[in-house]
Amino acid sequence: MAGDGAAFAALYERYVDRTYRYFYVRLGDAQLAADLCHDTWLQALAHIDRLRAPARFEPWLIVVARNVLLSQYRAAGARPVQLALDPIGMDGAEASGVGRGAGDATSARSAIDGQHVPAEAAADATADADALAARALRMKAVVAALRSLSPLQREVLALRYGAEQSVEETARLVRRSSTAVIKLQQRAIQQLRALVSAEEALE
Amino acid sequence: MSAVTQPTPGSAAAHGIDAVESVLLDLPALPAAHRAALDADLAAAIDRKAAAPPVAQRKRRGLWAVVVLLVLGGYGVLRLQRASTAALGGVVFDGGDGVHPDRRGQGRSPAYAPAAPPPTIIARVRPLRGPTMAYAPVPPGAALAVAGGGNGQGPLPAPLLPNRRVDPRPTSPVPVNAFPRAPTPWTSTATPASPPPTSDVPLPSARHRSHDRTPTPTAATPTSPPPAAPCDDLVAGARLVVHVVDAAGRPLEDADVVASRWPGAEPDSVSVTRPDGCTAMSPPDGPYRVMARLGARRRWHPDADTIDAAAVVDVADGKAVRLGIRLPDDAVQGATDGAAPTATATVSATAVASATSVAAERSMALGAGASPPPRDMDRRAGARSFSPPRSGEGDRPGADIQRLPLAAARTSGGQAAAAPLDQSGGAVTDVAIDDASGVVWATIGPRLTTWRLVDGAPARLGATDVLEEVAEHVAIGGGNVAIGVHGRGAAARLLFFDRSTPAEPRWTATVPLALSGAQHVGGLSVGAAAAWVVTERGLSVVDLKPSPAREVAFVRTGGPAESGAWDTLPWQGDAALLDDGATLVVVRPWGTWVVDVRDPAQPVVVSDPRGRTSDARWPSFALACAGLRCAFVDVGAAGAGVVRMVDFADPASPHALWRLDLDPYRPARAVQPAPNTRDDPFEGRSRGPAIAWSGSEIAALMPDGTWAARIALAGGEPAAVTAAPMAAWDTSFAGIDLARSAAGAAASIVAAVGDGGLLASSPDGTPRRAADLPPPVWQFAALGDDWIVAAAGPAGLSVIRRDADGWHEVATALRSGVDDAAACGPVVGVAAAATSALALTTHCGLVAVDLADPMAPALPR
Repeated sequence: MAGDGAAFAALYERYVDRTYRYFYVRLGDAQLAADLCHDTWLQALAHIDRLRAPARFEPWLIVVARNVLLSQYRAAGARPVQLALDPIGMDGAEASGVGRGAGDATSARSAIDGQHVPAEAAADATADADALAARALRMKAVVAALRSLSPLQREVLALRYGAEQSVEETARLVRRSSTAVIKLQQRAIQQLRALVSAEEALE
Repeated sequence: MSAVTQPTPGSAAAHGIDAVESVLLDLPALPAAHRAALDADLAAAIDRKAAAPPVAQRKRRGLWAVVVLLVLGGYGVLRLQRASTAALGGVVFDGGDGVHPDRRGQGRSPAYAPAAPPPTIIARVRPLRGPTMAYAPVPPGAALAVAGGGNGQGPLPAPLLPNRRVDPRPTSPVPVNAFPRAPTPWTSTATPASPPPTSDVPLPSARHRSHDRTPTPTAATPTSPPPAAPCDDLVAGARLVVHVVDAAGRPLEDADVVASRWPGAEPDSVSVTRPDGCTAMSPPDGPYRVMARLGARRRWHPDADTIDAAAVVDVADGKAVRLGIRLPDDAVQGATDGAAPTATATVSATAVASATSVAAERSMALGAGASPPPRDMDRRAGARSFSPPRSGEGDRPGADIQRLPLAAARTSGGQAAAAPLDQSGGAVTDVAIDDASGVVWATIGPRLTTWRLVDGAPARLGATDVLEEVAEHVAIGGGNVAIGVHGRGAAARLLFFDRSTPAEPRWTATVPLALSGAQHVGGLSVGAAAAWVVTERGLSVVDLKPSPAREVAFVRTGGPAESGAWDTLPWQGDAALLDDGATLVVVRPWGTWVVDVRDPAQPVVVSDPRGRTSDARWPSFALACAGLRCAFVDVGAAGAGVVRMVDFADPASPHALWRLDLDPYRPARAVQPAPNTRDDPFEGRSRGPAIAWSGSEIAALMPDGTWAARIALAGGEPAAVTAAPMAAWDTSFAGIDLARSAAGAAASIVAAVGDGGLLASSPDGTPRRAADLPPPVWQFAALGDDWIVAAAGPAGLSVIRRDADGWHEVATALRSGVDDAAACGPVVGVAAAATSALALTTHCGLVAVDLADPMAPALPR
């Protein structure tokens, strides 16, 4: 059993973030994505004995994740989960591992507060903070634009970018041809670009 | 800038095209708080799964149950049919016994069975439920009184009942002062007709109960001497007192107790139980969930596997809240070597006393009071980085190790990873200097790069192709340069390169740590014949002589990995090679191992903590050795450090020379530890305590980083202890050293404590902030007597000198906005040689600084 635990730990290390990202793209809600990721892994552990081909763990895990998502839909009254606009700020970026410069900027800021560094350092720190803020805004805009995509498009993006699945695996999971998946992905990206650009223009 | 119109920053074009894919390609990872919660839940689920029979076994059991049911069902139907046949035939020869004449002696037919008399209740089985059970220690000679009148013993006076039950029907789901439900039900011949009296003597543990006990008067009468409740000595001054026992009720030492707010909160307070299973914390007011864990076993108060099911404990009004947590059976790995549990009604306190007895180490108080007062026992500290000692092997020719194509290295031991088309730069993870050639080998991003100082400026000599992973460590030995690579789901790997070709680093071999299955390389030391690797599993040895080179030995050093559970404390510990060169001492927070390394290919563990009493296991976070003796520093029960001196003259049976509890020396004005939300002790990211030994003086940085103790030795034993406040703990790094003085003055304690800055002891022995360096100070290195070069984050690299007045910053380099290297960002690390230093910066990577004239550091041109 010790070996099983270690093996599962290794799989967990490798795939936990992908699972979270899958839900994140699919739902656009960091909190809900984390919760479903949590449920997915607990279910995966509970039913790992049913996995007969260990080499197929990743697709099996995605199936588990999609089942968890379906359960969430059912629990929510058979309605798709509303996309939440995540206020991804500095803290969120840091906590979620986005933007490794956040700590640097914070350190710089603390030093500035203590008046230990000259004004140039303050400018650097401000620039870092601005970059992080811009990055957070971009993330927010893209997540908001995901709302306009069809569920299938979101599923494809979630599988391709979140779960890091190949075109072929994605095609198998969504039961489309590889060509269809590529086209779905391209159109979704184009649609997102257009939406983000339009939002930028409005601002 | 070209003539092509560039999108202005923030425009739709600037964000519209690149933003979408960049965002999708760099999605956030699972937030740390959720990750921690998931880790904990999965660990608990794995524990439960490990305890449950495998699915195949369950299926077999289920199948057998179905078969048995079918057989019984078929038999019953057959009997019924026969009985019906007999009844319908009208031939009834009832002899009065309800048995068909044809079947007399063959059993009773249901059709003829008379109505059975109703059963008489002769006893009721009342499971003892946790919420109705409190606990208290049992004095010598005392017996148990069972809640609900189990033995009819009368009430005891209130002073004997510090944790007595007040209401058997708690208003809250889980009473605060209660143990969780006992693992085994208790059978009593008596049924309480009314709620038990409030003065029942609570049960100390499940093992102290017996089945079907006859109510008998016991020695526990009102005239008995009042017992001291467990943890009573911790109540005063503490706000959360926790008593941790195993399933049999034995106190558990070294169990981690964590108080957390939920949801998504990092542990707010962490402490470790002392031999009697008690510990105390003083978290701020608020609702907390409290967890105890030892090894792989954990329980949230009162008896929950997950934090979701844990009870909320309100800490408020300055009152101490007492809790009891019972860990499951498997947690006995950390139990003391106390007397075996006895299933008798009368419990001798001798067992408890022996269970909590400490080893025959001599505890030296040095004028201190008896028992140290309770303190906040937040163990902010985790461990120092686990760096194995250099073996001291010479620069012999490279080992004859297997040479494989690099492509094979990329796929060996793990999933094939697609190499990027091109890449440059990246984070600097480690650096090593080849003293023979002066070449610097640094792991930058996914490459191993080589550098040389040319006219004081670093010049890049070469670099490897893109490796499959970012290297974790680099070390030089023999003819090899080795780097450790994270396993990413497979075994970690060592990649070897030819030391003689720095201009074009030539990969020579890859050795997966297949024997141990470790995934992380926490430390690496390479010699001519063997490489020593510190991993989360223990200590691995890679023999470089055979072809192919391979991991030939693995020294398991215990801890969570040994129990097969989640590896959450992978890096805590330290190691040192003793002066005899044949003995390696490895310390971890759960014990000390002594390894005979005379034959590096076949290290032999000559002493391990198993079988020793809890205190004689010598748990430790760091050690400093001189000769054949080592000074250990550990987290004491009261939160301050414990320093032990252990003699390894006989490696097979090391013995402690003395032990010094430092809590009594805590300065009255010690800084209250600040909440450290960034460090999670269970993740192994936090560090400390630290210890240094120089001549006749030992310096120990306390686990919470708030103060340091300076122990003067006389005749090898502590003669005097001085202490002084250091800094509020709010950092993820703590290092300590004793800086010698060229003028013959006493060595000075120097500690880099992150946000606490650089602290050094002044001539009067009081540590204070050195040179007023702006925090954070991440690292420092000694340039020689009285000289230090420190990495001071945004303040750059600081050169500090000691004079009669103390430490003073005399020069700086790489300070933002001051020199040309302003864009290099904070300096996060430093390594120093005699006349130069290598600074690790966040933006420029490795920057060489010429310190030939330390008063005027020269930057590369």
